[in-house]
Amino acid sequence: MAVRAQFENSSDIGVFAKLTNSYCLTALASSSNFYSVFEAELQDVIPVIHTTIAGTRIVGRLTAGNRHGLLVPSTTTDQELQHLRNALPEEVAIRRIEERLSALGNVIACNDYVALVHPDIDRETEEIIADTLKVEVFRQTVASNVLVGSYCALSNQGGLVHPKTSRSEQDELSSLLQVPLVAGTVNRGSDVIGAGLVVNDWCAFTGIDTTATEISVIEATFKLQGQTQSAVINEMRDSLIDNYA
Amino acid sequence: MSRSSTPARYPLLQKPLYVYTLPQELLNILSVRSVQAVVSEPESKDAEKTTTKATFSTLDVSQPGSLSCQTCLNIAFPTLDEQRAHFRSDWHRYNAKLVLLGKGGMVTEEEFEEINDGLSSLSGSASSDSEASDSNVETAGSSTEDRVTRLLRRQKLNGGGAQDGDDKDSDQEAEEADYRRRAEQRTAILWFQAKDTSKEDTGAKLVPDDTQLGIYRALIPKTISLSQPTAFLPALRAMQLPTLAPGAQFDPFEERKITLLMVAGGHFAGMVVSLRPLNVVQSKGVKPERQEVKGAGEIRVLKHKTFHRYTTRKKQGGSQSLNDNAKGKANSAGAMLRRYGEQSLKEEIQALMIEWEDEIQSSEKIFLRASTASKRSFWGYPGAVLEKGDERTLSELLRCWQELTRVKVTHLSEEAIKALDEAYIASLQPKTRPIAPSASTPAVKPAKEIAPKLSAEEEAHRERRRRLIDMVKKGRMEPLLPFWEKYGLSLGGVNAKAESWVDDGRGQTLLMIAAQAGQEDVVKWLLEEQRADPTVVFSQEATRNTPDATDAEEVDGQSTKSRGRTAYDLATTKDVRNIFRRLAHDHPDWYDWIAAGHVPSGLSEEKEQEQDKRRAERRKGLKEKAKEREAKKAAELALVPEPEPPLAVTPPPTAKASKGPQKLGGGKPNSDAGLAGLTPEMRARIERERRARAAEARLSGLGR
Repeated sequence: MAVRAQFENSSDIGVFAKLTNSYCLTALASSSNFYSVFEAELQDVIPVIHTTIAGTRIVGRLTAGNRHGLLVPSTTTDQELQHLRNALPEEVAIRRIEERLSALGNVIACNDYVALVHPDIDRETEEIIADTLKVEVFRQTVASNVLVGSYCALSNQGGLVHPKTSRSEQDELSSLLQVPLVAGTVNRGSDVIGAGLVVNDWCAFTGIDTTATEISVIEATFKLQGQTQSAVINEMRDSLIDNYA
Repeated sequence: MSRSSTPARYPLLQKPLYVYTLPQELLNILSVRSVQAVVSEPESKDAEKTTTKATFSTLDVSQPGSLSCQTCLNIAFPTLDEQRAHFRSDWHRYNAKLVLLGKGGMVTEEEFEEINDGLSSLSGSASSDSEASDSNVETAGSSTEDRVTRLLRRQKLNGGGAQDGDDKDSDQEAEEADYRRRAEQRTAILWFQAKDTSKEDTGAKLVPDDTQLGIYRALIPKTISLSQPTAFLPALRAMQLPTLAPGAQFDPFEERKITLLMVAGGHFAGMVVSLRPLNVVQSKGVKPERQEVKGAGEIRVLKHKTFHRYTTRKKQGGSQSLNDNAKGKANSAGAMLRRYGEQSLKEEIQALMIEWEDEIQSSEKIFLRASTASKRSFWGYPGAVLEKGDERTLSELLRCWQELTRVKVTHLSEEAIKALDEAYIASLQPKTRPIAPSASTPAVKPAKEIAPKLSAEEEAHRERRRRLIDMVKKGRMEPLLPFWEKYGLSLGGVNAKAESWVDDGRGQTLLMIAAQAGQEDVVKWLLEEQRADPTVVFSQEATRNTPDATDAEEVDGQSTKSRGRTAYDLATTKDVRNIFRRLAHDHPDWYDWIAAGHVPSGLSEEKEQEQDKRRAERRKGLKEKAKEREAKKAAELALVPEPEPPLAVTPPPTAKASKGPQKLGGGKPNSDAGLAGLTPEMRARIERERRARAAEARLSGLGR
């Protein structure tokens, strides 16, 4: 089930929220509308945590995490770290990372098994990622973009990547990730997938601008409503491709 | 390249040669001879290498499947594990980084390993055999991250163009590529060798051996690059004017023209020249053509124009607009004039360009000399005659034309050419190279210091000596101590005499300088801690120019001229001399203080204390007397009841009154009525204040 949401008139909700299979982080907003959308979907299943990271609201871009753990940048304050520790489930490990590329959400894209990371990331950081998130780490690019976290959204079911990712690159990435990938857009044609979409294994939240077609592609890709991936090609073909002229 | 006198037997070289009318015989024997041609050989080798590389990479391309790597030459993997392992390998990461850096060339695994091992060269064929068999991928070691980054850093330092590390393995090759690039950029003149082999036996040669012809490269189409030197000759042949059959009429439509335009400092000169030379020599049946321009000789000038506008800032240089851009608009009348001048020069040039449009358009080549700013007069405006993509008073233009088209002829032997080439190559070297050996030489031979020209080290040494003397003279102990620690030994130790080049204090030791300057601390430090020798004698000759020395002599009061002076003799103050005496008493064993050091007698502590005590007593007596006198005075003053009026003019109260806030205590000046109810003392005080204020007012009035 994909739900549209907006954060204070911004449809880049991936910037202000982080969604995994075992927790959800949302930024502190002036109203609780944004939080409520997540709460309504995820209540009683996983904790939805209000937090700031390094005093900022861009929690989605500064953090990276999955079911096993959460990585926060070195700029995170002790208080924030303590709050997160208290709010997160016991089994979720939390680590603060000393990394030059501090927007971890932009440089790391991961599901519960594999992580794609920025090619220039530190050796140490790579090891911490592998240990904390219990994933295999691959230094990769997505459609020649080093910010893998910005240009793709991954779950254990599937992945949506930058619309200009070539067919062969999709094949390569999908064999690395062992999940099917679809190239697509969010927020009415935006190619920054990571900013417009947060997804876990059973639900997705997208920006308010996302079109119905984009929603159906997302639902099919991440297998959110019983659809299979082939639906993207078979059933949605007409709506995806306007005409052949 | 001087044009040496040509022997008369070579008629061909007696007249100046022009590029467009080179004699056919000469053209036949020309060959390109230049630095570029010499070094261009490795290039073909390079080409070979790239072809082998190309075949190499095609071998690797297999059918694209999901188990492949797009980055690393499309290699395929049999299993997922191998693919995953590959994605974690250094090789893949290296290639991925190359892609990110925008350097297309991928490397194969063998190439990567070789680069990694630091092997100097890559022999393509040998490694291609093993490529197919060696498919298992190395797993990443722990220190490998550094390997990849180090590798990339090293390659970035290699600098320049294509650098995927395989065609730039040796330094030499890189250097050669560098030469070629620089030569390509810098050579203005192409040299052709004229070698007459055909008539060697007959002795009737066209040109002497070792004749080189120089032609400006600008005349040859830009499309021919220096890497293909053989292409120059056909280009040169194609440039030649067709020889007219005698009596044939010249077709004006076939006229080949060249335009020359020069603008600098408000001067403009332009002309259009026809390549067909003017017939100025009277010969049978042919009338000489009239030369329109004086001094033009055989040059057929079709159009010419020169003009000048006042645009350049006199004595300062630079155009007004440049100055305006740099410093903002100047408002002087001259600035206005120049601005106007620039504008009108530009307009005039543009008008002329339109007038000459036909000629310019039909010109084969247009030579333009202008600064970046003034180029705008020629193109970049609507209706411009010249396009930016198009490829020097009049006499100057003619000179330039001759310079440009006349073939330069030199007669240099092979050795001379070789030497010149070497000089040329040396001039192309980056500047850092010659410095490296020169920096190391002074360390090897310190004898160089005697040389009249000072080395950097000698200069530094002198500077240090001057600083040291300066510090000693000024008694600056804090900087002196660390300075001495650092350079003391290199400056020849404490007893070294100052060299002759020192401004003052030449021939003196530091102790002498300190003693003369009266710096007790320094003298004490030199004597006690550095054990400076006070018995060193200061020779007389060196003192002649130092007036201080003679002063010291007078102070000293004893004739020391005959025996030379020591530091003690040079001391100017008593305190300094006492230091010498005290040390002479405390450490009589150090030196022969009295005989060699000229120290009259030791000064013991007790002696000094005694002296001090006596002095103190005397002072005490004086003080008491003064006190008594003061007490007496005070008593006398106390007897006088009204000392107020004179007090009023004394400074303390005035100073008090001048302070603003304290005015309050004074009350108003015209409040006489208020004084009525006061005690006489209070009244007197108020009166005093009032007078003081009046006095202050008077004084300030005087001061103004």
